[in-house]
Amino acid sequence: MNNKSVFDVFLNNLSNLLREGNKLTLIFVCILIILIGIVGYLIYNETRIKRLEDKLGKK
Amino acid sequence: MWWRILTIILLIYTILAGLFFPIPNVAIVDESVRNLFFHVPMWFGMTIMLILGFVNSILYLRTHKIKYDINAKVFTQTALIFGVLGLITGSLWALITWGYLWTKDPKLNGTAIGMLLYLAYFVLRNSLEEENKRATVSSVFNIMAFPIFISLIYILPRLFDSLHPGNGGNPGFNIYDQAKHLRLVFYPAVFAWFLLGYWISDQLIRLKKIENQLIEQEIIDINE
Repeated sequence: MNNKSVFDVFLNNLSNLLREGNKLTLIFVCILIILIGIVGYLIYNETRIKRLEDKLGKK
Repeated sequence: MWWRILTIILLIYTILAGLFFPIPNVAIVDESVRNLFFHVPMWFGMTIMLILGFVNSILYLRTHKIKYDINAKVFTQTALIFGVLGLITGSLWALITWGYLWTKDPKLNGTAIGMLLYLAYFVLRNSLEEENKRATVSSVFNIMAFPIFISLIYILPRLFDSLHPGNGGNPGFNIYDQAKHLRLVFYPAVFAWFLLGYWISDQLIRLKKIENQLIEQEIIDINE
Protein backbone atom coordinates (compact mmCIF):
# COMPACT_ATOMS: atom_id res chain seq x y z
CA MET A 1 0.00 0.00 0.00
CA ASN A 2 1.56 3.33 -1.01
CA ASN A 3 1.35 6.54 1.03
CA LYS A 4 -1.33 8.07 -1.20
CA SER A 5 -3.76 5.22 -0.65
CA VAL A 6 -3.10 5.29 3.11
CA PHE A 7 -3.99 8.97 3.07
CA ASP A 8 -7.08 8.31 0.91
CA VAL A 9 -8.35 5.69 3.35
CA PHE A 10 -7.63 8.08 6.22
CA LEU A 11 -9.72 10.85 4.63
CA ASN A 12 -12.46 8.42 3.70
CA ASN A 13 -12.68 7.01 7.25
CA LEU A 14 -12.66 10.48 8.76
CA SER A 15 -15.37 11.87 6.47
CA ASN A 16 -17.52 8.76 6.96
CA LEU A 17 -17.37 9.10 10.72
CA LEU A 18 -18.16 12.80 10.69
CA ARG A 19 -21.02 12.33 8.21
CA GLU A 20 -22.69 9.47 10.03
CA GLY A 21 -23.18 11.33 13.31
CA ASN A 22 -23.57 8.18 15.43
CA LYS A 23 -22.22 7.03 18.80
CA LEU A 24 -18.71 6.68 17.38
CA THR A 25 -18.75 10.31 16.23
CA LEU A 26 -19.66 11.33 19.76
CA ILE A 27 -16.79 9.25 21.21
CA PHE A 28 -14.38 10.82 18.69
CA VAL A 29 -15.52 14.32 19.61
CA CYS A 30 -15.13 13.45 23.33
CA ILE A 31 -11.57 12.20 22.72
CA LEU A 32 -10.75 15.43 20.87
CA ILE A 33 -12.23 17.55 23.68
CA ILE A 34 -10.21 15.62 26.30
CA LEU A 35 -7.02 16.07 24.23
CA ILE A 36 -7.67 19.79 23.76
CA GLY A 37 -8.38 20.05 27.51
CA ILE A 38 -5.11 18.34 28.51
CA VAL A 39 -2.98 20.33 26.05
CA GLY A 40 -4.78 23.57 26.94
CA TYR A 41 -4.22 22.99 30.65
CA LEU A 42 -0.52 22.22 30.06
CA ILE A 43 -0.09 25.42 28.02
CA TYR A 44 -1.93 27.46 30.68
CA ASN A 45 0.24 25.88 33.38
CA GLU A 46 3.36 26.63 31.35
CA THR A 47 2.64 30.36 31.28
CA ARG A 48 1.72 30.34 34.98
CA ILE A 49 4.97 28.57 35.95
CA LYS A 50 7.02 30.88 33.71
CA ARG A 51 5.44 33.92 35.39
CA LEU A 52 6.19 32.55 38.87
CA GLU A 53 9.76 31.65 37.88
CA ASP A 54 10.34 35.16 36.53
CA LYS A 55 8.84 36.67 39.68
CA LEU A 56 11.06 34.57 41.96
CA GLY A 57 14.10 35.19 39.75
CA LYS A 58 13.73 38.96 40.15
CA LYS A 59 13.58 38.79 43.98
CA MET B 1 9.96 25.16 23.61
CA TRP B 2 10.24 23.19 20.32
CA TRP B 3 9.63 19.83 21.97
CA ARG B 4 6.39 21.06 23.51
CA ILE B 5 5.10 22.05 20.07
CA LEU B 6 6.32 18.68 18.75
CA THR B 7 4.34 16.96 21.55
CA ILE B 8 1.12 18.69 20.49
CA ILE B 9 1.69 17.89 16.80
CA LEU B 10 2.51 14.24 17.50
CA LEU B 11 -0.47 13.83 19.84
CA ILE B 12 -2.87 15.21 17.23
CA TYR B 13 -1.25 12.96 14.61
CA THR B 14 -1.51 9.92 16.91
CA ILE B 15 -5.20 10.47 17.63
CA LEU B 16 -6.18 11.18 14.02
CA ALA B 17 -3.96 8.60 12.32
CA GLY B 18 -4.55 6.06 15.07
CA LEU B 19 -8.29 6.24 14.60
CA PHE B 20 -8.53 6.67 10.83
CA PHE B 21 -5.49 5.09 9.16
CA PRO B 22 -6.17 1.81 7.33
CA ILE B 23 -5.48 -1.31 9.39
CA PRO B 24 -4.87 -4.92 8.38
CA ASN B 25 -7.78 -7.36 8.61
CA VAL B 26 -7.15 -9.53 11.65
CA ALA B 27 -9.80 -11.97 12.85
CA ILE B 28 -11.20 -11.39 16.39
CA VAL B 29 -9.01 -8.30 16.93
CA ASP B 30 -10.71 -6.37 14.09
CA GLU B 31 -10.84 -2.59 14.61
CA SER B 32 -9.57 -2.93 18.18
CA VAL B 33 -6.07 -3.27 16.71
CA ARG B 34 -6.09 0.55 16.76
CA ASN B 35 -5.55 0.28 20.50
CA LEU B 36 -1.98 -0.65 19.55
CA PHE B 37 -1.37 3.10 19.11
CA PHE B 38 -2.65 3.93 22.59
CA HIS B 39 -2.25 1.00 24.97
CA VAL B 40 1.29 -0.09 23.97
CA PRO B 41 2.86 3.41 23.65
CA MET B 42 1.39 4.32 27.05
CA TRP B 43 3.20 1.33 28.55
CA PHE B 44 6.39 2.30 26.77
CA GLY B 45 5.97 5.83 28.12
CA MET B 46 5.43 4.42 31.60
CA THR B 47 8.56 2.26 31.35
CA ILE B 48 10.70 5.20 30.20
CA MET B 49 9.37 7.32 33.08
CA LEU B 50 10.16 4.51 35.52
CA ILE B 51 13.70 4.28 34.12
CA LEU B 52 14.09 8.05 34.64
CA GLY B 53 12.81 7.68 38.21
CA PHE B 54 15.18 4.77 38.82
CA VAL B 55 18.19 6.73 37.48
CA ASN B 56 17.28 9.75 39.61
CA SER B 57 17.04 7.58 42.73
CA ILE B 58 20.56 6.26 42.05
CA LEU B 59 21.78 9.82 41.49
CA TYR B 60 20.24 10.88 44.81
CA LEU B 61 22.03 8.11 46.71
CA ARG B 62 25.30 9.07 45.03
CA THR B 63 25.07 12.84 45.51
CA HIS B 64 22.44 13.39 48.27
CA LYS B 65 21.03 16.32 46.29
CA ILE B 66 17.32 16.63 47.08
CA LYS B 67 16.47 17.66 43.50
CA TYR B 68 17.14 14.09 42.34
CA ASP B 69 14.69 12.72 44.90
CA ILE B 70 12.04 15.18 43.69
CA ASN B 71 12.72 14.13 40.08
CA ALA B 72 12.46 10.43 41.01
CA LYS B 73 9.15 11.00 42.79
CA VAL B 74 7.64 13.02 39.96
CA PHE B 75 8.74 10.62 37.19
CA THR B 76 7.34 7.68 39.16
CA GLN B 77 4.09 9.60 39.71
CA THR B 78 3.72 10.26 35.98
CA ALA B 79 4.63 6.63 35.22
CA LEU B 80 1.83 5.51 37.53
CA ILE B 81 -0.69 7.73 35.70
CA PHE B 82 0.43 6.20 32.39
CA GLY B 83 0.25 2.76 33.99
CA VAL B 84 -3.36 3.30 35.04
CA LEU B 85 -4.23 4.58 31.53
CA GLY B 86 -2.46 1.53 30.07
CA LEU B 87 -4.46 -0.76 32.36
CA ILE B 88 -7.76 0.85 31.36
CA THR B 89 -7.01 0.67 27.61
CA GLY B 90 -5.67 -2.87 28.04
CA SER B 91 -8.75 -4.04 29.94
CA LEU B 92 -11.05 -2.62 27.26
CA TRP B 93 -9.00 -4.41 24.62
CA ALA B 94 -9.20 -7.64 26.63
CA LEU B 95 -12.98 -7.28 26.87
CA ILE B 96 -13.27 -7.04 23.09
CA THR B 97 -10.84 -9.85 22.19
CA TRP B 98 -10.95 -12.22 25.20
CA GLY B 99 -14.43 -11.42 26.46
CA TYR B 100 -13.28 -10.40 29.95
CA LEU B 101 -12.02 -7.16 31.45
CA TRP B 102 -9.55 -9.11 33.60
CA THR B 103 -8.22 -12.68 33.45
CA LYS B 104 -5.81 -14.71 35.56
CA ASP B 105 -3.12 -14.01 32.99
CA PRO B 106 0.44 -13.68 34.41
CA LYS B 107 0.93 -10.41 32.51
CA LEU B 108 -2.20 -8.85 34.00
CA ASN B 109 -1.60 -10.10 37.51
CA GLY B 110 2.07 -9.12 37.29
CA THR B 111 1.00 -5.64 36.28
CA ALA B 112 -1.40 -5.39 39.21
CA ILE B 113 1.32 -6.47 41.67
CA GLY B 114 3.79 -4.06 40.07
CA MET B 115 1.36 -1.14 40.36
CA LEU B 116 0.71 -1.98 44.01
CA LEU B 117 4.47 -2.04 44.55
CA TYR B 118 4.75 1.51 43.26
CA LEU B 119 1.72 2.60 45.28
CA ALA B 120 3.63 1.30 48.31
CA TYR B 121 6.49 3.59 47.28
CA PHE B 122 4.21 6.60 47.75
CA VAL B 123 2.79 5.28 51.01
CA LEU B 124 6.36 4.88 52.26
CA ARG B 125 7.32 8.39 51.15
CA ASN B 126 4.34 9.94 52.89
CA SER B 127 4.98 8.04 56.10
CA LEU B 128 8.39 9.65 56.60
CA GLU B 129 8.53 13.27 57.65
CA GLU B 130 12.23 14.05 57.78
CA GLU B 131 13.26 15.12 54.26
CA ASN B 132 16.67 13.41 53.94
CA LYS B 133 15.51 10.21 55.60
CA ARG B 134 12.47 10.10 53.31
CA ALA B 135 14.62 10.70 50.24
CA THR B 136 17.15 7.99 51.18
CA VAL B 137 14.63 5.30 52.16
CA SER B 138 12.38 5.92 49.16
CA SER B 139 15.36 5.98 46.77
CA VAL B 140 16.44 2.56 48.04
CA PHE B 141 12.86 1.31 47.68
CA ASN B 142 12.60 2.69 44.14
CA ILE B 143 15.89 1.06 43.11
CA MET B 144 14.61 -2.29 44.42
CA ALA B 145 11.10 -1.89 42.96
CA PHE B 146 12.22 -1.17 39.40
CA PRO B 147 13.86 -4.54 38.55
CA ILE B 148 11.00 -6.38 40.30
CA PHE B 149 8.45 -4.46 38.21
CA ILE B 150 10.34 -5.14 34.97
CA SER B 151 10.56 -8.87 35.83
CA LEU B 152 6.85 -8.97 36.63
CA ILE B 153 5.66 -7.38 33.41
CA TYR B 154 8.31 -8.21 30.83
CA ILE B 155 10.11 -11.41 31.93
CA LEU B 156 7.73 -13.64 33.96
CA PRO B 157 4.83 -13.52 31.42
CA ARG B 158 7.24 -14.84 28.77
CA LEU B 159 8.06 -17.86 30.92
CA PHE B 160 4.44 -19.00 31.45
CA ASP B 161 1.32 -19.52 29.33
CA SER B 162 -0.20 -16.16 28.54
CA LEU B 163 -3.02 -14.81 26.39
CA HIS B 164 -1.24 -11.50 25.98
CA PRO B 165 0.35 -10.89 22.55
CA GLY B 166 4.14 -11.21 22.59
CA ASN B 167 4.09 -13.39 25.73
CA GLY B 168 3.85 -17.09 26.55
CA GLY B 169 4.74 -18.08 23.00
CA ASN B 170 2.02 -15.82 21.49
CA PRO B 171 3.12 -13.75 18.53
CA GLY B 172 3.31 -9.95 18.85
CA PHE B 173 1.64 -7.70 16.29
CA ASN B 174 4.59 -7.64 13.91
CA ILE B 175 3.33 -10.64 11.95
CA TYR B 176 0.03 -8.88 11.21
CA ASP B 177 1.73 -5.76 9.96
CA GLN B 178 2.13 -6.83 6.36
CA ALA B 179 1.72 -3.32 4.96
CA LYS B 180 4.21 -1.90 7.50
CA HIS B 181 2.17 1.30 7.67
CA LEU B 182 1.15 0.59 11.28
CA ARG B 183 4.70 1.66 12.15
CA LEU B 184 3.99 5.09 10.64
CA VAL B 185 1.64 5.65 13.55
CA PHE B 186 3.13 3.40 16.22
CA TYR B 187 6.60 4.98 16.53
CA PRO B 188 5.36 8.60 16.54
CA ALA B 189 2.73 7.48 19.10
CA VAL B 190 5.44 6.09 21.40
CA PHE B 191 7.32 9.37 21.11
CA ALA B 192 4.14 11.44 21.61
CA TRP B 193 3.10 9.67 24.83
CA PHE B 194 6.65 9.81 26.18
CA LEU B 195 6.90 13.55 25.42
CA LEU B 196 3.51 14.15 27.06
CA GLY B 197 4.71 12.33 30.19
CA TYR B 198 7.96 14.29 30.17
CA TRP B 199 6.05 17.57 29.80
CA ILE B 200 3.79 16.76 32.75
CA SER B 201 6.83 15.70 34.83
CA ASP B 202 8.78 18.83 33.85
CA GLN B 203 5.91 21.05 35.03
CA LEU B 204 5.52 19.18 38.31
CA ILE B 205 9.27 19.40 39.00
CA ARG B 206 9.32 23.14 38.29
CA LEU B 207 6.25 23.69 40.49
CA LYS B 208 7.93 21.80 43.34
CA LYS B 209 11.04 23.93 42.88
CA ILE B 210 8.96 27.13 43.06
CA GLU B 211 7.19 25.82 46.17
CA ASN B 212 10.55 25.11 47.85
CA GLN B 213 11.83 28.57 46.89
CA LEU B 214 8.71 30.19 48.33
CA ILE B 215 9.11 28.25 51.60
CA GLU B 216 12.79 29.33 51.80
CA GLN B 217 11.75 32.94 51.09
CA GLU B 218 9.14 32.76 53.84
CA ILE B 219 11.70 31.40 56.33
CA ILE B 220 14.10 34.25 55.44
CA ASP B 221 11.29 36.82 55.81
CA ILE B 222 10.29 35.40 59.24
CA ASN B 223 13.92 35.44 60.45
CA GLU B 224 14.36 39.03 59.28
